[in-house]
Amino acid sequence: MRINTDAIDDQTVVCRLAGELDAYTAPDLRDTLEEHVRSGVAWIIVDLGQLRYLDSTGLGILVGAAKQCRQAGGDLAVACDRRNLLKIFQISGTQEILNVVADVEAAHARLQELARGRETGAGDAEEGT
Amino acid sequence: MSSKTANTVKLVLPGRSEFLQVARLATGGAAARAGLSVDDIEDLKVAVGEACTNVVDHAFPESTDEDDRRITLRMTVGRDEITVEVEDEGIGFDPAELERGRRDSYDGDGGLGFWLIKELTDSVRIESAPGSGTRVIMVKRASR
Repeated sequence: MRINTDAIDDQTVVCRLAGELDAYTAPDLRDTLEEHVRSGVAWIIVDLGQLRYLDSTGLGILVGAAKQCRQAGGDLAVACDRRNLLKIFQISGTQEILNVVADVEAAHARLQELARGRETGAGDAEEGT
Repeated sequence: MSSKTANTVKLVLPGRSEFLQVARLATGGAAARAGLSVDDIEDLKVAVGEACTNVVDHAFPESTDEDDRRITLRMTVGRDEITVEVEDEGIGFDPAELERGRRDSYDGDGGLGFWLIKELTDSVRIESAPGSGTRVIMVKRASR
């Protein structure tokens, strides 16, 4: 499996996966995503447009990375329009926690919306004191 | 009429994660021979992938020699139907534990594999007991 990472703006990266994500290739993805969070990048898009296979091992990596991003003040979104992969998200009930949307543009918009929502939430807290 | 064994493909794989793709490719080929659709084949590949991953991850103690870690895949090709058996000679387990771990949505803590197998196949049966190895028998029929 290949993983290519590009910066999409000054705080967001997109990791594009190509190939198959299984127990053999999942550690590479886990290491890549953990390294991003460690280096201060907490807004991550995972693009599955060229991914042919996903099972519970890869799903676990994505859910774990989403949790780490949130703990770091960011979030993770998955860009996916492949029917067979969407079925896995649907069966596992992870579409919301992984912010699964159709493409990278929608994923970026989703993360920006989440970022704005958190800023608004922080502002409301200050007004209440 | 062909006998069951005449339409059975048997594959013995090393029980290591780098061979999971081989299991999936073989499953895809056999399922196509059985007349399953592309969507059905993709479902079955995940189910078989999950069963094989469970062997790699759980069937053998760490002390087991690599040569002794094997996955036996048996695929019986029918008309619009395929039966896939994933077997190992590992430590076995109590299948009732799988039902106890069921949940409605996944939180990343494991246990999703068997749930996916159930959802992506038409039937699944597990034969196992502690110390006796494991056999997972899955049936997938062509969608109407």
